[in-house]
Amino acid sequence: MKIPKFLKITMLCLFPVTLFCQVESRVASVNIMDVGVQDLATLLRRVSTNIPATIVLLDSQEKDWEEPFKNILREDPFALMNLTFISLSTDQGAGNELREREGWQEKIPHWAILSPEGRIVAHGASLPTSTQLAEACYSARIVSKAETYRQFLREHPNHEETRRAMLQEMLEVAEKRTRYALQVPESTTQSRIPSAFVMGSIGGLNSTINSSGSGDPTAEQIENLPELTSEADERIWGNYCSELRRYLEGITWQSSENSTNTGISSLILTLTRASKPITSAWGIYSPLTRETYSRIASKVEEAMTRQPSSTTLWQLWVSLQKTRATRSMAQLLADLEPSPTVPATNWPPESVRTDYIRSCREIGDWKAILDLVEPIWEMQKALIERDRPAIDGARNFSLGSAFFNQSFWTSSGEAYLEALLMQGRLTEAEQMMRTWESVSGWSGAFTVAANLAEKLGHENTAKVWRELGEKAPPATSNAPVQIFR
Amino acid sequence: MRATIFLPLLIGLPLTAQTDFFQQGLLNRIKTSTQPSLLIFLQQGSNSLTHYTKLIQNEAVAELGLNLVAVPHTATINRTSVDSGNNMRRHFGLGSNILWAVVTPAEQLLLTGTAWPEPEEFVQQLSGKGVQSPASVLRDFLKTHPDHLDARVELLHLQLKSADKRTRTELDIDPDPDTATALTGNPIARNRLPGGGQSSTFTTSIRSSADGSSPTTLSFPGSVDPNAPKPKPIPDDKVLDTVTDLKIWGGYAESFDRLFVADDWIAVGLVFENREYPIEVCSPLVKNLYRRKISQVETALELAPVSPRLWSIWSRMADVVGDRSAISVFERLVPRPGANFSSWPEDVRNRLISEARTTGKWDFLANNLWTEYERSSGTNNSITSFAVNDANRAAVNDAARRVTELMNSDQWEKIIAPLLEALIRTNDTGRADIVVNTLKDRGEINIQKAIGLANICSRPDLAQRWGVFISEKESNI
Repeated sequence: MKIPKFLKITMLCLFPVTLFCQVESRVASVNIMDVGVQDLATLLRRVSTNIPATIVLLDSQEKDWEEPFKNILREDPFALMNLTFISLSTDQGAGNELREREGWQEKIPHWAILSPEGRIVAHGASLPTSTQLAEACYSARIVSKAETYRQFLREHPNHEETRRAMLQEMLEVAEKRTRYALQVPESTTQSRIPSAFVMGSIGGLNSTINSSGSGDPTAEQIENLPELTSEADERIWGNYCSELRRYLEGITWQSSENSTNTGISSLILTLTRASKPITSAWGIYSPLTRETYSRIASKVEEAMTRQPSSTTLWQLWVSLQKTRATRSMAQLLADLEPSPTVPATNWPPESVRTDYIRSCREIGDWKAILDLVEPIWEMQKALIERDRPAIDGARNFSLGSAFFNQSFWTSSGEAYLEALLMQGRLTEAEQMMRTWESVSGWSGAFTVAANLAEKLGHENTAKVWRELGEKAPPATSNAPVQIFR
Repeated sequence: MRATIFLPLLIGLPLTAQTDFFQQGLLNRIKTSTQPSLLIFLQQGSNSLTHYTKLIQNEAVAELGLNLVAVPHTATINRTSVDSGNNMRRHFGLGSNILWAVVTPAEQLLLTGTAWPEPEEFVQQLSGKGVQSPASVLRDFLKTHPDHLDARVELLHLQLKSADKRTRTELDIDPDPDTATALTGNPIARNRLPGGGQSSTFTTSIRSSADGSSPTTLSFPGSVDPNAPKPKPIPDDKVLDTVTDLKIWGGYAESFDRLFVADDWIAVGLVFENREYPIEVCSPLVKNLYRRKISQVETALELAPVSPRLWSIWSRMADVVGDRSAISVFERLVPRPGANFSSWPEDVRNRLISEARTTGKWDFLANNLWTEYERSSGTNNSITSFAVNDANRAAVNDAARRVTELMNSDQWEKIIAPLLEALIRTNDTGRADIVVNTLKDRGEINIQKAIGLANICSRPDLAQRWGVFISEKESNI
């Protein structure tokens, strides 16, 4: 299909068109709505919530088109549209009803782009190219969500809610294009799609980017995958980074004449619904993004000196830490002074510790885990030793169990042990588990520890720990076990 | 009295645990508290609870935020009776006649007594031992860290709580059931504070097991207990005089004002607890302050129109100021592309609906609720024509099912009734018919309600027309 010259020029203005995207293995995710759609009414209802449009594939019995079609959707320039994709097999009634209504041939695959009103704005019975799809959208005046936001912001430059929504949309697209460029296997990213679709809303779709880390790159990927070339980096992350920088540095809004807005206030304002972050761990492959995140990190760390217990700031900091844009937590903590009413046992806040440790495990930063958990472990161990004689000669587990319980093991203990093993500190790992044996009533830790040791090639240690787990009294819950001797 | 409800639970929960485990649980609570603990050794058969309650009800004692630890006389563990009171006394080297003790987190004894102390004397003695209230600790800290936002917001909330109580005492206003928690526990140590974007609901945790792994959280606020008394409106004549107002609310007003000088109120994510009748209405000082500052919140709303936090602050301030219209603010706001009425927080929508009904802004209601209705019932695309023309049975059933869901989720009052009323009053009978038409399969009761609304709005013609649906249904049966 020949594209008119004026359209080509327009497309170049509208989308950062690329030439690189033909990689052999096309493996990034698209917004797939792979759920049962029994009838046309149901399909139309689902389509009505997808802005700006939905792309539907009516496949044949053999699903001839599904994979090639998905790959086309992942390619630029159509990838920038970030449309929701609904694949309908022949056993789904909606597809048959639609064929019948539109008079499309049976058994031959067909694709269609549907507006939220259910209007068919483009369709075809041959496999299109990404450019053709983008062109079809353009002809039907369908612009991407990000572009809609951008146009709105020209008229309302201070509308932070829209700017945040635009950043989130741009981030989602950048993540997908990065995964495609790096050929990250589908399985890594697919897991977070279904839950989003259960929500069945635009918000739900966007929430496929989450802060739980479930779709973030693994430590192995971080180690093995190359960073993006400067051309790909600029193309994929350039606009997002510029907007983010503008967002942070160009904020002029003040709610009163006396306001001295530093930028961070507005950032917080826009993060009030922090379920959708504006940063991504996938930025680690982008030198541009890492540099931008470093700037944010310094602003966040500065703000934390005034609000050291702010969950919002901590969440943002942990997300930035995934791209190694921050200082170490130990360095940060040295600069923070919590309010005098914050209990020492809750500093840094437990939820922060958990998030941070999870993040460190994901990226394999074992030293950071040791730096954080080791002092806590030693402090609690010392406390238990100090209090032990107070129990009238009875060897008592419960005090230790108050801290060294299943909850601690899950949040920190396992990661601590793993970090020791990964750093080659086997003797200390064994010592740790001996301590656990003497102070904790939760024997489930030994099974986990043994599996971990086995996985890392410490067969003998694994055997000892497994035996300890079998010897220890069964503990299936958090309830501590007390033994008098 | 909430403390009396709470206390048996406090004592009762650990009884399921093992003997020493129970004592360790109490000791752990002492050690992990930031404030000293007040141990109450409950006496068998005596009226310990009365003394206990009297002590903690005192404002000065409450402000100290002591960690309250009630030690039962005996505990029954696995059908074995344990002398838990004396065991605990022995642990601290106390005689059996000791009724109460104050200990530090390091288990250092500060005070003990063989008789129940007078609150004033109790506070004085503790002060002599260097025990400060959290508010006082924060004030001292802020002298050297004036820019510490976390501490400033913590202090602000303590000041609000304290001013609330003092105002009620001063003007003889019933305590707000939702603030009853201020009397007990150590709010600072246990409660999450709003600086980090967390809930400011005050709750006190009781650990159901001493290992602390599965705390059972009991909330003091009345919201947990359906039988708890509901807050009462504050009479208009309950207003503080200038001198008392300044004395009680001066500190809070100063802290609040300062947060608004440099937009720090946004940075901290200031959140107010939801109050039906905010006590600040009694303070002309705070009322004027809110009146001056509310425009800043409205400016911020222009940039983030659906922000629940901003609306929460605005609502609280508007309730105190008294003459602010949520609809006026709403109509000033430009929503982001793709946003609709349902994008606004539910509290805000309810407030807008309520205000529109009160002020007779039926066009506003009809337009906005129709969008909401369309979204909820899925009638905003081709399904509309299917449903209305009855041409597609599956679609009709589908739409009807979703309407049923609406009704089941208590949306009749929230959406359908105000929408229908607004459509009738704006004479939009076409869309009113669509709503009733979709309702007709969902039971006679809904049609009856619609007919009732038509009659209230003096539209017997509509009542008669919709009455046919009932006749149709009966004839079908």
